[in-house]
Amino acid sequence: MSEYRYLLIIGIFLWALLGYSAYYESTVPLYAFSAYLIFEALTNLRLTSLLKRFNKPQGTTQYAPKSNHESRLSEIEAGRVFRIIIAALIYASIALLPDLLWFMPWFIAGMLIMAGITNICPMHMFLRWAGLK
Amino acid sequence: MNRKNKLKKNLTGNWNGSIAIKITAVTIWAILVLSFLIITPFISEFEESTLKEFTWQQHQVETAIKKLYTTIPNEKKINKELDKLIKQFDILYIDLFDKNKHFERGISSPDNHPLSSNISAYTLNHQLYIEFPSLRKSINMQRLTIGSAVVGFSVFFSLFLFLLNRKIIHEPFNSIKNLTQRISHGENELRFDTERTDEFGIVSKFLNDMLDTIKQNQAELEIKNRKLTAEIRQREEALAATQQKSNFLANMSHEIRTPLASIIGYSERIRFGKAKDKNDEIRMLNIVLENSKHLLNLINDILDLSKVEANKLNIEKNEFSILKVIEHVRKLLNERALEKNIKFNINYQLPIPEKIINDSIRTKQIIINLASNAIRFTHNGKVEINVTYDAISDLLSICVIDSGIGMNETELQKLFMPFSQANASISPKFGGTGLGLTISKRLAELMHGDITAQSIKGLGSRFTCLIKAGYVSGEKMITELSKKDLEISEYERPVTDIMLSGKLLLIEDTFEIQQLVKSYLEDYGIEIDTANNGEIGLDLALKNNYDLILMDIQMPIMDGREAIQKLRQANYTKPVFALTADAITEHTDEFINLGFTKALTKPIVINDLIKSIKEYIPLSTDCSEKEVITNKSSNIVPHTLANKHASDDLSDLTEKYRKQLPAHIRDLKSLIHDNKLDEALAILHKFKGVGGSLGLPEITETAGIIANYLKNGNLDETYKCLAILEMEYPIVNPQTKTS
Repeated sequence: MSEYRYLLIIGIFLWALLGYSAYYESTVPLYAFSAYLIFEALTNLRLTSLLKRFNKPQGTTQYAPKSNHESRLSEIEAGRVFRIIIAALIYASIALLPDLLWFMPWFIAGMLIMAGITNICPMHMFLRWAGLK
Repeated sequence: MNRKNKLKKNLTGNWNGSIAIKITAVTIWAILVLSFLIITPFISEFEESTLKEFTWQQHQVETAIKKLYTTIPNEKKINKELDKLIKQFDILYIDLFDKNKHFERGISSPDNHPLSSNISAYTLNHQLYIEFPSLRKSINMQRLTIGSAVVGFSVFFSLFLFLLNRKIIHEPFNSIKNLTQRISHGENELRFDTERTDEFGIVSKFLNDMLDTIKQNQAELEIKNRKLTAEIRQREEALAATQQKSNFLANMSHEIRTPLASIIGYSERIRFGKAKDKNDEIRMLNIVLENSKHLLNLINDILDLSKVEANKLNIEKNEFSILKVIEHVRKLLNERALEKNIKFNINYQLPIPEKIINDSIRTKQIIINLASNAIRFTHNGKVEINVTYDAISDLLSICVIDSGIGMNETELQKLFMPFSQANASISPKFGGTGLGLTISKRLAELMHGDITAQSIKGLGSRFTCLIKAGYVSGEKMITELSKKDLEISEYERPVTDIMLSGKLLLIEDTFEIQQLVKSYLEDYGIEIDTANNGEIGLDLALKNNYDLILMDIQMPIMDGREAIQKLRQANYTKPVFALTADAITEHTDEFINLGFTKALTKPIVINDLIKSIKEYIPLSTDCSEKEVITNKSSNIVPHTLANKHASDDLSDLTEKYRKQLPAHIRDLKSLIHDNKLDEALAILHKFKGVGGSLGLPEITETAGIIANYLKNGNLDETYKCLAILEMEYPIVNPQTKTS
């Protein structure tokens, strides 16, 4: 599974969770989702990487070419930072400013779905431009 | 790489989709962001108003219930009014408690919601607990609806937009891309669709214009390139031709000067009486004659080449025996092969047609050229001529094989090029002008054949000449060789000497030629008048009754062209022969058209002259025809033959020669003993020539071998061969010699 197909799946999943949370007035699934993303980012035990390793033992987990931008950040993978940012935004929108940023999870879900469909993710592009690999 | 370029690369590097997807993505991002930015304030305002309305409703309900319990004492009426309130304000249920907080009664709506907000109201006797639907849930559901709608709409809109973009942008782009790819792969005739009126149509039009311009430029460039290439090739060819001609001239200079040196030198010696005796004088004359013939052959080759280059070389078909031609070549070249100690064999693979129809003179010329080359470039070993006939293709194959110096591939490639020999070192070493093979190949082609060459450096060469035999079915084929087939006397001696009776006018400005022709023809009994130019000649011709006029073309005062025209205009009907050094065929035709009866080329060959004039000058009544020896290649000079009526017939000559031979051998031994080798060689030379002329090839061959040994200083072998010659002497007898 490519990283972009994964983004499509977690986008749809987040969308479904938001519906559930709204209907049952429960934010627990969203916290759990954020926690999962943080787990993936910190441990690098990402589902896509695990699947890739399972299918291609010698394959790499990279889904985009290396950046030529030389910096300390170049050793950090954009995919991991991407997950942390998403988790942080979701957490902020449900725990810190729920009335102000209520749309943020919806927006994130929409962007994830779009990134999955188009293979173009502005956040990824930004992170790679910033020097992450 | 600066930051701007890096940004550009990293941003675009991740754009793996088509242009339609990119446009869609960008559009949808914008829509998503804008949607949330636009909707969020409205939602906040809506939620605020909803909260206010909710609070107001609560207040109204509370007030209404209080009023109800205060003003209406009837329980039934109160219940009825409460039902109205529940319906009016969408209240879930209202619980009533008494003053002691004991549940008294409850009124609820049909719907039951697990989450809800509530208010408490108090009356005089009751406490009211009013349950409303959940405000938070209501807001959340509203957000769910809006969020889902925006995201869903964005997704579906993006798909629609993608399809639209694909149709509007991607497909035309893709079409242009595919066409560009095909054009870049060489399909230059393809053009873009210009039916669209949008930017793609305009771009397509520009691209088509660009392709047309490129094609036009390319065509122009190709033409220019072709012209330049042709010019370069012409220049290179011209340079090569110039170089070859320079080399050729250098060779020619050598080839011409060498015999000229001999001619001038020996002529001066004879002229100033430096000859030791009569034999020495004959020897010198022979050398002069041989060198003159060599020069003549050289000039003929050059003329032939000029005809080849002008495509004017023609062949004259006649019926002849190929065996006799080849045997004549054998006779001609055998001596040269013997001088070099080379075996010279001719093999016939029978059957061969007795007569073939082609140009006998040119055939002979080709074979002589190939065979003499083979002998020239062979130092030891052998030269073979293999003759075969292929009945299916009607081609006669004459294959000349030698064990000579051979050639490599490069030398073979330029072998048939005019003015070129296999390499530059050949001419100085071996002689030759490099014209023979070019002429021979062209001649063979004209005779519907070809000449091919194979060679191995150091081992030898093989030249195969194919010519069309022109064999007619039913004609006789030679299946077994007989002496008659190889007899060449008929071929060699076609000319008969005759005594003529007539009067001839020679118009010639060169005194020497006048004297020469006069001396030739007076021997045949012809009375000759001479004139130094056309004007005098014209006058003489009209005043006297000549049987024939021989007229030079280039003369002072009045040239041959003008003179013949005036003669013909004066109704002069007698034959007039042109004597010209111009051997170009078209010029010969021109002379005939001017009014000349025939054109004879210089140098004048007496036999040809006699053959031509005897058709117009009557035979002498007191002289019978007598056969004479006219071997052109022999060492007997024509004028000597012309004087033959001072001697006897051929048998008398043979007898005389037979009688003189022992004395000659003795003289020869004596000269060798006295180390007078030049004189000995002169006698041997005489042996060769006279022997051949009298049909005694054994004498000629042996004399050639002796001469060769003598030149190499091998006296032992010379004496041995002289002994052989003495032993052969009895054979030289008219009664025993049959060949």
